[in-house]
Amino acid sequence: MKLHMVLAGALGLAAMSASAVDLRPLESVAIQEGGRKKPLATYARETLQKLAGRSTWRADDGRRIEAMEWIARLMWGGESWEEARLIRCGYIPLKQRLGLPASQRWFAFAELSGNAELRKIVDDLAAQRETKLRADWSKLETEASALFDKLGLFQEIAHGHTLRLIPPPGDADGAWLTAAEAEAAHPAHAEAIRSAWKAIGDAWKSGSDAELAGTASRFRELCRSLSPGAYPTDRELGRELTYQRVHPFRLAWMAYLAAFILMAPAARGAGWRGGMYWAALGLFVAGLALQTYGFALRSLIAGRAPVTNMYEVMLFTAFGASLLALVFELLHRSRYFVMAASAVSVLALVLADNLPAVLNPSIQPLVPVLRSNYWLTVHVLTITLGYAAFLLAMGLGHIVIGYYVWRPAARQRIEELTGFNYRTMQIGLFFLVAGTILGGVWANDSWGRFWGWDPKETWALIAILLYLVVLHGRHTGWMGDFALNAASILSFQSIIMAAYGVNFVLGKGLHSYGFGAGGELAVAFYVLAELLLVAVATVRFRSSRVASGSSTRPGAPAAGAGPD
Amino acid sequence: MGNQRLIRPILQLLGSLKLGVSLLAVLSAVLIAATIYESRTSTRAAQMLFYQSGWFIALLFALGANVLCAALARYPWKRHQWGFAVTHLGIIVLLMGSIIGLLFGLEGTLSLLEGGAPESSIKLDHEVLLIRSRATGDAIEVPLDVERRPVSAGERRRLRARGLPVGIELLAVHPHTRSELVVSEGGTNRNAAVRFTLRSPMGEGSQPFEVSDWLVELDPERQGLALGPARFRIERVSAPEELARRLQPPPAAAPAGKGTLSIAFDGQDYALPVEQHLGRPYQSPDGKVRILIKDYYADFRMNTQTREPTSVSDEPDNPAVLFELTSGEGRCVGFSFARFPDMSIYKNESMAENAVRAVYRFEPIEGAGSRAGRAHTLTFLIGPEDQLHFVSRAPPSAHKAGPAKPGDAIDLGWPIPATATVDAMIPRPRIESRIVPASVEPGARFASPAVALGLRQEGESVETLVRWGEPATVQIGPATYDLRYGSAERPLGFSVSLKSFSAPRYEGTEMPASFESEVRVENHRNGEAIERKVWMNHPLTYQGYRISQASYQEGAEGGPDRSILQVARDPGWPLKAAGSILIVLGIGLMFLQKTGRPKTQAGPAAASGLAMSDPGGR
Repeated sequence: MKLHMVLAGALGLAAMSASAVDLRPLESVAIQEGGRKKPLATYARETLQKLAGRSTWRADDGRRIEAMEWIARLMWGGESWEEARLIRCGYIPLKQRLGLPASQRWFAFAELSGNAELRKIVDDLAAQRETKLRADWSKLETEASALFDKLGLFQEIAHGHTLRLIPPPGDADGAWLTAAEAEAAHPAHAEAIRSAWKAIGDAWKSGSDAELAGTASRFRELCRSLSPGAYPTDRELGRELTYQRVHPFRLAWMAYLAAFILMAPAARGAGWRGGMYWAALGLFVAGLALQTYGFALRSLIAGRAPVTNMYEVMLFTAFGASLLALVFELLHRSRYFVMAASAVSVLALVLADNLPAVLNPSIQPLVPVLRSNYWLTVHVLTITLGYAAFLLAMGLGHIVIGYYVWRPAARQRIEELTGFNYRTMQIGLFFLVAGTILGGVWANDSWGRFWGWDPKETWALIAILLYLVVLHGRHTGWMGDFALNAASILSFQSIIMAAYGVNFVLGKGLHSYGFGAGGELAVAFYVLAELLLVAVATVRFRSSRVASGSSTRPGAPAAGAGPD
Repeated sequence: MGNQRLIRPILQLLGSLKLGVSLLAVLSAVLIAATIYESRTSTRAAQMLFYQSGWFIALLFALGANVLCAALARYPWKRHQWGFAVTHLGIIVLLMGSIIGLLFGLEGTLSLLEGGAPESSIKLDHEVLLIRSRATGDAIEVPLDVERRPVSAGERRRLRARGLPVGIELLAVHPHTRSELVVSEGGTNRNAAVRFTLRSPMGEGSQPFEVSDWLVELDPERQGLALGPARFRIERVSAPEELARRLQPPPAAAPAGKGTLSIAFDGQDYALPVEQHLGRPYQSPDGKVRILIKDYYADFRMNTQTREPTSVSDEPDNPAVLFELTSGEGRCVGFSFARFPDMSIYKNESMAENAVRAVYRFEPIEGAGSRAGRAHTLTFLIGPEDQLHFVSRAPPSAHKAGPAKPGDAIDLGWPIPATATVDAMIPRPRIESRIVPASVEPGARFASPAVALGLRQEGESVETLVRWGEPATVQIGPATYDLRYGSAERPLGFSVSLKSFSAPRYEGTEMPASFESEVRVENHRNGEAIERKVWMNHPLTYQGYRISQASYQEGAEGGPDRSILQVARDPGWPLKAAGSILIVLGIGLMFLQKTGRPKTQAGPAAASGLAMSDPGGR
């Protein structure tokens, strides 16, 4: 990944769009799309994200185009977009199959729409839709279907005439109207709507900020007056725009990163560590506060707990890990909790921020079975707190393994941290067991059975069992300090499987509303890296033990110390 | 006390931590394998091989025994062991609840049609054979269990028909069957049947090809047959002039046209050539009815993106028209399809349902199958005196016709060389059908499974095929039995009917936001009736049954919807709930107990973790 680009984007250093006009007033015009009403800015971002796989578009001349500018050009620019390289296709086997250059990542509609091979794959899938379920599609077929959907989306919006910006008369929940449909539905206002809309375009073309602001706000108020009950309030629109502009989760990871950087020397115990420690802790709390703010906004926008897709679960897991770490930190003043939590949180938040194709950040309506705020909160939040504790334990495990590799002499530190790790896993187990059982109670209500060996249930149980092996193994004498920390890393892979693998790799079972695709390679790479790390550390640990002539397991409780 | 001394070592052995940890590890490995197996095969297969197998349940039992013994071996529990004991007992209570649920619980589905008749029994998900003796009225249900234990070839598995004097054997389970025609002389109705054999030296993969089949004049399923690009038909032509005309080649370069739309409305029939009326309104002579053919689609498809109809090509492969009928009564807009006459879609405004009937005929299309308009066709014509003729056509303009006599080989004159022989022609046949096993065609939507059974009574024996859901009757000597192969059913003791169903959508989309069934439950015993709404996460509990919304099938355009409800009774539920609470409580206790306990008293359960190195404790 081009790190500098990510950082530049993250720090807001990206060059401001070259557009001459300030389009911000237009952002708060409401649109109905994807089952809810949202500001035009959200729609622009999400749509560009869907087509191009990113929220800004690099034009063929190399210029960077922001989503809002892109939408404005679609609507009033009068240009043809069929030749613009806007549609992302990143899957190389598919490009090979379609006869497209493998190194090119964005394609024009004209390049793809006439592709007979693509048509054939999609037609075959359509012909087999009774017998071949989506879950049985090959990766190539899934990607081809997604690409075809993008072509359809492009066609739908390419001329900007299909945006549903105008509420229908009366009915608060009805389908909103395009400009053309509005002519018939609001005969008395047809002319006013048309001219108000055209005025925005004229203002945009004239390049006048003030005029654009005035025309955009006039259009919005006109639409609102057509159906005041259905139109989102300024407060609601503003809240979502704030969420988009502030992007609290990005700020949060930056705060966590800073906390981690400051905490590292503080933990090593330099003389000036006091100040460093408090600064780091302050930043860490700031990160947590930003995340809380982000969740609050998101919950208010969506009207539900923010734990309904992989993106949200990822964010919440990081949040939970940080929250638990803060509690432990305040209890024990160990510094290592904050260090571990800030490291894993940065990792989780950066991933969530930069993989929109896999972890979809848009706010979408829920399938009926999930529409229960009570159960969502009770079951998913609890499970996710379990994940969070195990994530923290995994981070702590890395720190201890680091000690074993680089400072094996620090026995006391190792024992202390191992104790913390054990305790953290215990908490994780508490939440995971409680969450899984609550899931059973929910399933009993919605599916009519408590437990059914559904893959998601089974993997939650597998994770529970593996952590039980670790925690009980401590008392059999099979699991020494080193093994416990290594196990906290290895067992975390079962959490990855339960959270990600079941939905993205196995793809079977009743939790199908969470199924998705993508990221398999990255996850496989991560898992392999962890396995390799543990293997290398184990080799080092064993050879150091042999060298020191020790025959007992360091840190293991004395034999026979199991529950008597 | 002496007992104590004997029991404790056994408890300690069975409840040993090392055994427990080993069992936990083995169980995790098995479960991992099971989920991977499930993703490669199917949920059903994984259930059979793993979760419902004897050894898997034995493994769970072993773990349960270990958990129980571990708790008992440490009795009486010291204060710091309460968490551990409560958790372990919770697991036992939960497992007991599961066993009770498994043994005495019931789980099935109710499929209810909106406004339909009340249902008073649920369908379970296992297959049974129902046998009823006509003589005594005795009926029994025999579980087949064929998913767990498939019937192997040549096996004759005895089924236990308790209380009936008949011996029943299960011989085979056929995943698909078809009914085969048995045509013989001796019928009474005039209904010509022709058996022909088609031979071609160049079939698929240039292999010689031969196939025989029956065409039956009055059987809608046998009037026309399709074989690859070829179509075969039988038709009666009552008038001699018509017969002579049909045997002539068609007028050269017949205009393709766009077919004819026939509309029946208010006792009148209107036949409108589409070419002529497309976009040009037709006014009935009395001025009361106005028909406009708004659009013509040569190759109709629904664009799934835009949800708008389009034509994907100019070839008339799936011709359809969009029409609008206006009269004093109101307006009706509809689609009519040449290939799918039953699929017409109407949208009525202030008009009685079924007021308008439309049939769209597109001449080149005959029978089902694709690209029919350009097919090779062989038509048998039955003349007024049952004389048999053939007409053979192939693109672009091949035409052959003449009399056909049984035994003659007719060269069809097709680009692909082929001959047809009439094997038999029976003007008044007796037609029976027989069910025979068939292979499931790949991509087929529906299969018609059947069980092959052997019945024996008083020295006589009969073999028969019983199809899924189709009642069958078997006669053995003097005894008659009614047989039915299908899902097991259980009476509920009350009946449920669906008053209405709705699936409200998210604003401006087709995404359902909820499925909601308005049901009426009637108790037969005391006549009590309640009406409730059942929707996702909001089940209805009635007489120990939990009735929850599972899924639905939306009816076609305005038709009644079907709602599928899950009905379950789980007497183990209170134990499951209690066990769950105990487990969570126990883990919480364990966690709380270990904080702040001095290291010196570190009982074994806390011989690790913070107790050893709790910096806060010092």
